[in-house]
Amino acid sequence: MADENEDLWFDALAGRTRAETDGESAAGEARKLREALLLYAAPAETPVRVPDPERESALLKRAEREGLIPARGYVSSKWYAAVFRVPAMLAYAALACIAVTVMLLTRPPPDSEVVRGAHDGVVRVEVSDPAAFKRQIIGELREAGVTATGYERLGAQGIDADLPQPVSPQVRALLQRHRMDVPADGVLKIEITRTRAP
Amino acid sequence: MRACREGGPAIGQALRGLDRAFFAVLFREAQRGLRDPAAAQDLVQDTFIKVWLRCATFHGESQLLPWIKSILRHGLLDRLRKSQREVALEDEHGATREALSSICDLSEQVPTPDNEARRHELDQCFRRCWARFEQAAPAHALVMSWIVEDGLNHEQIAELLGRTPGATREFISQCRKRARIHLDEWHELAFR
Repeated sequence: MADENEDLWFDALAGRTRAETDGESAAGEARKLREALLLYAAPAETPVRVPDPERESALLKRAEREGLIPARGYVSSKWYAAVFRVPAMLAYAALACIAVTVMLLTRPPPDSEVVRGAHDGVVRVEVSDPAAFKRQIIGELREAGVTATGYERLGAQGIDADLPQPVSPQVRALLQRHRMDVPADGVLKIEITRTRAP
Repeated sequence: MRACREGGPAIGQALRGLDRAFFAVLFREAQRGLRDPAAAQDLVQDTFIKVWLRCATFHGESQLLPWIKSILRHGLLDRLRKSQREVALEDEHGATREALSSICDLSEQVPTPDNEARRHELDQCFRRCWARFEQAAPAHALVMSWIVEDGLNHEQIAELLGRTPGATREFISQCRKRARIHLDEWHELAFR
């Protein structure tokens, strides 16, 4: 009874009409409150400038701080600043080239995952380092709010996870990134084996 | 959103575009919850950064503004939960709670034969009472205003609050009870 009353009040507050009596009833009370709140919310109290170059600049600086966009260099109109900036930029470019070359020469071969498809609801993946890949996927699932269980059986690594329903956009994106389909029954089962030698 | 996904130099322009398209509406929403223009601007910019970070999860199946608004609302509720806001003794006009209460009482005694005058009186009383409610229970007041404006259902509120359906029902019930306490004077006027 109390729940019914609460629901009437809630629906009327949200503007969902039901056959109900007016006056002091829960729905009547909520309708009056709704009218008053809509009036209250109507005027914008603080004027807002659009576009606002100062605000936009603050937003871009913030994006730079967060590392979302590369930091812009200090812009100076002084001629000597430009003279010194050119060699400095060349030096940075040379350093960057060296760093990239060293990375290319020393990095291990790329661990590209190969999804062999799903059979009986189990996604089969081949990678060069199954244990590392298992840890990576479990970590990514955890970040997306999913508790996953990792196991090792007969030399193959595996992951089982019950995906909370409805499947969140983060989890969908994660699966998509690894070219896996969202399991129809909500249970993600992955088997990871070592990449077969060519 | 395409620039956002692809990254690169276009992101600066994309962020500017976000600001120009959505700042005003998001700022108004943030300002209502935080009651501080600087904090509201900070929250909106924080929201734009989150939009950039989460753009890979936006597939375009829903409209952009409601998606961004939902990110802002999560942030808003988080900030309200974190902040231990003190209940001010005076409102922004310097009136004490007792004074406001007296004004409401007095306004009840003033004869208002004209409907327009009564509506105005009712509106003013509501504003004062609601401002007190916002100060005492900001999250409850905010959620109620979202229910009114966007017709949120139980599931949507549960998602915003990060609570179970049962806890969400209890929260809504608390909204009603708490609002009733703070809107008591308005109630008297509205239903007399």
